[in-house]
Amino acid sequence: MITTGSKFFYGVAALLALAAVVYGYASGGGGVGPISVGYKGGVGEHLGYGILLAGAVSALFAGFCATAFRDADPEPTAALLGTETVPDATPTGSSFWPVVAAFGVVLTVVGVVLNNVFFVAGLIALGAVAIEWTMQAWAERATGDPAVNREIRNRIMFPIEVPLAGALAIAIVVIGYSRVFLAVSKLGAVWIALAIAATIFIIGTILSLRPRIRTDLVAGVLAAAAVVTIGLGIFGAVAGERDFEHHGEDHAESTVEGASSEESN
Amino acid sequence: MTVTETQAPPAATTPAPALEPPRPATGLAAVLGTGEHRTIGRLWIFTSFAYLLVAGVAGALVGVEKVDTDGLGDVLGADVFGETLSLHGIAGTFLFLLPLFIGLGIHVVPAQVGAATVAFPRAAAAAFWTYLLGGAVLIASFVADGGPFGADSRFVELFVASFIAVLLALVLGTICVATTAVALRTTGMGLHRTPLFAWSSLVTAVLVVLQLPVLAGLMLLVYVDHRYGPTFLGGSDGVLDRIAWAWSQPSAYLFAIPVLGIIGDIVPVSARTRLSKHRIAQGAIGAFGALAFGAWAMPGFGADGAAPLLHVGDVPFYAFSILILFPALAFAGLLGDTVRRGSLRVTSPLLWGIASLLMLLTGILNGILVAIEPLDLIQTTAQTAQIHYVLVASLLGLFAGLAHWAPRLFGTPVQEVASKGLAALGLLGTILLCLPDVITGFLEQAWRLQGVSGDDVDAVEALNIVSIAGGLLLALVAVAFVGLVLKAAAGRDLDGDDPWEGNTLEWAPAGATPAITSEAPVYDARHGAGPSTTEAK
Repeated sequence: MITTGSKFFYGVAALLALAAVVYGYASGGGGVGPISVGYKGGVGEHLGYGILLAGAVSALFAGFCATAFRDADPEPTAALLGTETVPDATPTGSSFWPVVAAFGVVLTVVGVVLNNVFFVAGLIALGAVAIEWTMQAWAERATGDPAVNREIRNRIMFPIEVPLAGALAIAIVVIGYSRVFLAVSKLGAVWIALAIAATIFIIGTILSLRPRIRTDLVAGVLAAAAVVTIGLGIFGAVAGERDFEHHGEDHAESTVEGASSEESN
Repeated sequence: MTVTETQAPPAATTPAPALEPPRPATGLAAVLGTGEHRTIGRLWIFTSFAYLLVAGVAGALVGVEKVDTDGLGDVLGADVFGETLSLHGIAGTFLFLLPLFIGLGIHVVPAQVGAATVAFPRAAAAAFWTYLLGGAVLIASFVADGGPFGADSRFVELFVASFIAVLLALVLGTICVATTAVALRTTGMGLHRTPLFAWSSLVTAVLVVLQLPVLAGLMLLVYVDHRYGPTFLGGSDGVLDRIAWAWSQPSAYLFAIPVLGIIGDIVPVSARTRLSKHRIAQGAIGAFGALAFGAWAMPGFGADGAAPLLHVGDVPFYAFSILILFPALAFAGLLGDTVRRGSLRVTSPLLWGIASLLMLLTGILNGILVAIEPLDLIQTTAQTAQIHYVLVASLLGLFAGLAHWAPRLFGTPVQEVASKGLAALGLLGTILLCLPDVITGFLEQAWRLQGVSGDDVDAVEALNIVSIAGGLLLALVAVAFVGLVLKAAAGRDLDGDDPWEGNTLEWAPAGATPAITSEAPVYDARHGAGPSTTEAK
């Protein structure tokens, strides 16, 4: 029996194949070219003929698949599985990798046109997504217990994620604040460093005095600190570095001058 | 020497601490990480509204240029006009119409086929975020003087690259909807029993998968040519010609395929009966979809890289333009027969649906006129009118779907009286927008700032003002309806009732899925399982 889905796909294939032949002859095809896919004679305008024929072949393939798999109807599928009904697809849990993947795609797109750094960053993001998404999808099906699944995933991924996240955090702090220190005056850099140290000390003290600390609060404070650090870093990078005095050369020159004066004495 | 026994007593075993189950995310984190198909569907829908605003503003700016045919291009300038026109077309089709369909599909199709979720929910989420961010970059590239006709070559390339990303996101989103309709149907729900919206979603998805990669591949050629090549394809001025086929005849009908499914689900409910000849209706939608395949009718590659309209005057162009009328008429006939057999109650989704179907049929007739070469209507405003008829009919049809499924989408129906009034005004606005353009096409007004070549300049300008007024009315109707939808969404209660007494599975009471022996299981359960029209055949 030809299934409903197969009928649709075979219909599409027949229509597009017929249209390809008609189009081939209407746009200058000769002999049996449009019928023999150009084996004997021309097919007319190649682009339109090719697209119509490719559409017909694709639809024909989909029709074969629909016939072979019985439109993926639940009854034949259940019979194949040896069950009475097909198990329901279960709703999936929360995951941030889709949004990171989209961010990576757009970063790659922007980077390929405007800036190689963005392009590489986008590729790295997509690579990380590929690994993490695959790992999450596997771990979620490892056992029937979500808590155990999460534990399994964390045991495998934390040894990789934690050092990388730490390295990333250090890089953000070093690069971000070094841009700020290089942009302001020497004394200003000292005051900013003191202010940062004091802020960390005060926030750390406040948090430690609380009997219980919510994870959300700590995450929020760290996220805010990251945003401030990156923002200040961008601001410092845009402002550029201050003018530096080259003490090493001055010192060398003064030493030479001193020696010559001693010689003259 | 004293030896100390250090072996632990055997009975002293401590139980391992119980693992804490994962906590569900809340707030913004819940939205960013969602894999829940209803939330993803609503995200697609609301984001498409934002892009509709962009398309509407761009359309209004394009319309202003038509007031004075002597000074065409005076207001915006020729290049900015070209950019604005391109933004109007791209935002209206690829950032609004298709995403709104995908949003409805992701939310409604699983419920229609008895699935607990959409297929590949995380892929659907990734597609949404790519569409959102890619669309934002695409619009930003227009603002930075990129896009078709743009002067800054870097941002022209950024437009092309971000457009490819958006196209791939749309393909991925439709694949999720189609896979749900094919592979996640519940027991008893053969493909021949799927509700018409689910079936039309499958047909649309097949067309999207066949057609949009062709457009994406073409954009890749344009990108390579523009960035590295000798701009063989006409530089930024040639980009719009490489895209516009995707919303011109016959490809424009792709956007109307899901609308047939929506109307096909609404009319039997409004008529309080089951649809006449469900399988024939499926066949009509399938035939309509097959005839909407239009990637072959894109401009070819001339010897100088120009874009000759090779399909004009070709037999397939005539044939596709005329043949597509027959499945549309057959479908309309089935709906008419359903209304005749039932007991009609006039609801706002029905009015939106009727307006949509009327405009679609008018657009098809307009398309036949455009295809008749001796009438010389190609590249006149009559062709613009045909595109507008079909695409606005799709908009009205999708609004019908929103009004129909609002109780399931948002838990609250949209205000019925206001929605009915807006449907009537939407029909009026569409006619006012398109009909003058058909007439000015016969009066030889060319599209896209090419002026009037005939002698009836005053008549053309007067008709242009009527057309602009129609567009303005339509924009106001769209804004007001979106307001109604947002109001319904604001007071959401996700276990809303069924105000229509629906026929298909998405209207089944929670936890009481009826046995599926026909295409209208909830209707059967309500009226006692009568003879199935599907089985009767």
